Amino acid sequence: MESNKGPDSENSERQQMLAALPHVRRFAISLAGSRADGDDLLQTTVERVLTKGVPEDVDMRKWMFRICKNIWIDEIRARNVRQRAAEGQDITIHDRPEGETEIMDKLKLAQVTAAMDNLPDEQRTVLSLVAIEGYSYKDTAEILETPIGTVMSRLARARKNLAAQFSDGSGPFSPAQAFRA
Amino acid sequence: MKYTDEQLSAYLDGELPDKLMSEIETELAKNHQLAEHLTALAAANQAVQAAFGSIADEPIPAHILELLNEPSTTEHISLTANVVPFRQRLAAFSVSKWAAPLAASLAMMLGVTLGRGTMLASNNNDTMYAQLSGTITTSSPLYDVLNSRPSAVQVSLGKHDDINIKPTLSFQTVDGSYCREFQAQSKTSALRGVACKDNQAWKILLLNQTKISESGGYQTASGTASALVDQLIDEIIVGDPLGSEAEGLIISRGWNQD
Repeated sequence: MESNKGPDSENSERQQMLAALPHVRRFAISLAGSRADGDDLLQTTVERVLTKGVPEDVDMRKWMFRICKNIWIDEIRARNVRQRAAEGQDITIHDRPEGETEIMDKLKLAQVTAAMDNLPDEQRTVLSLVAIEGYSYKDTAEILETPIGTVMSRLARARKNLAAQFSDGSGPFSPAQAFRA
Repeated sequence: MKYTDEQLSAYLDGELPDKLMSEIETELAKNHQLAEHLTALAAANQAVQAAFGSIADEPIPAHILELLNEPSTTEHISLTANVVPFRQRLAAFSVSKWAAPLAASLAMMLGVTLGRGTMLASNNNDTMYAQLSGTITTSSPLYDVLNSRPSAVQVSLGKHDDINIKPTLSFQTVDGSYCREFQAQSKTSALRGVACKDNQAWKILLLNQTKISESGGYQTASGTASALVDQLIDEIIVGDPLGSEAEGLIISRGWNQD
C-alpha cells in the first residue's frame, strides 16, 4: 500500500517504531541489566528518535538499536549512573504463583544477568545483537558502526568470558562439564 | 588449538566461508577437545537466549507507548480539536501486547489502512483495540457500504458471507463533516467504529475490536469499548442523528457537504 508523504509517512514511522519496541526493549534491558533501567533507556531512545527524526531509507529497528546503544554507551554509562541489578533482584516478571520451572528460570535469569553484568559493555552489546536478536555480523557491524572484524573478536571474547563463568559448574548451563572426562 | 576462538565463535553463528565451515565440521567429528571447547562457547548463546528471549513477548510499558501517540503537528483529520481530549482519556487504559495483531486481522480483511493507533485493553479484557486514525479507501468493501448503504441494514461479504457489515448511525459534526458509526463482524471478532467522509475516503476516528467467544453469535464491542464509541459520538455530533430520509438524500449526494 502506497502512503503519501506527510502525516501518512509519519504514521508509518510510528507504526515501525511500535513494531520494533519489544526488541529494542529487550536490547535495552540486556545492556542496562534490569527492567527498570532498561525501560528508562528505552524511553530515552524513543524520545530521541522522535525528536531527531529518522533518516530516509533506514531500517527502523536497526536505527533504534543504534540510538539505544549510543545513549547507553555515550550518555548513561558515561555519567556512571548504571546500577547493577543486585543478584536475585529485578527478576520478578509475573505476579502469579510460581511452579518449580519458573523458580528455576528465575535462578537462571539471575545467574545469566549477573554473568552478563561482568562483561564489558562492548562485548555485551555484540552478544545481545547476535545471540539474542539474531542479527548477522554484517547487520551488527552496521548497527554499531564498527568493522565486522571487531564484531567477531568482541563476540568471541564475550563467549569465552561467559563460558569461563559457567564452567565452574555453578552456572545455569554447564555443558562443558558433561564433556569433561 | 588449530582454530581461533573468533573462528569457532563465527562457526557457531554460521558466519564463516563455506569451505571453513565444512572443514571445522569434519574436524569436530574426530576431535573431542575441539568439540568440548565449542560446546562451552555455545553455552553463552543458550544462556542469554533462555534469560532474555521471552522479554520481547512482554507488554511495552504504557508510558513509553504513549510517547508514540502524541498528537502530530500536522493532523490530517478534521475534528482534531474534538478528538484530542478523547485521546488523552484513552491513555488511561492499560495496554495489551496482543491487541494490535488481533485488531489488524478483521480490519485488514476489510481493507482498512490503519494509521496511528492506541492499543488498549479494558480491565475486563473485552476491548482489544482502539484506533484513532485510519483510512478506508475506495478499494475497501467497507467504503462501499459506508458510502452507499442505509443505516441498520446488514451487508454480507466474503466467500461464504462470513463477514457482516452494518452502518448503524449517520450524523453531522460541528465542522459540517458527515460521519457514520458502523459495526463489522467475522467469525472470530467484531468491530465497532466511527468514520467520517473526508474527500475521497472515509477516515476512521475510532475502531474497537472485540473477540467473539466460541459460542459465536453477533456480539458488539461491549462495556468500556462501547462507552468509548458513545463518548466520541457525543462529543462530535451536532443535533440529532440523520433520519432515514435525510440519510438517503445525503447518500445520493455522495456525502458531500452542501
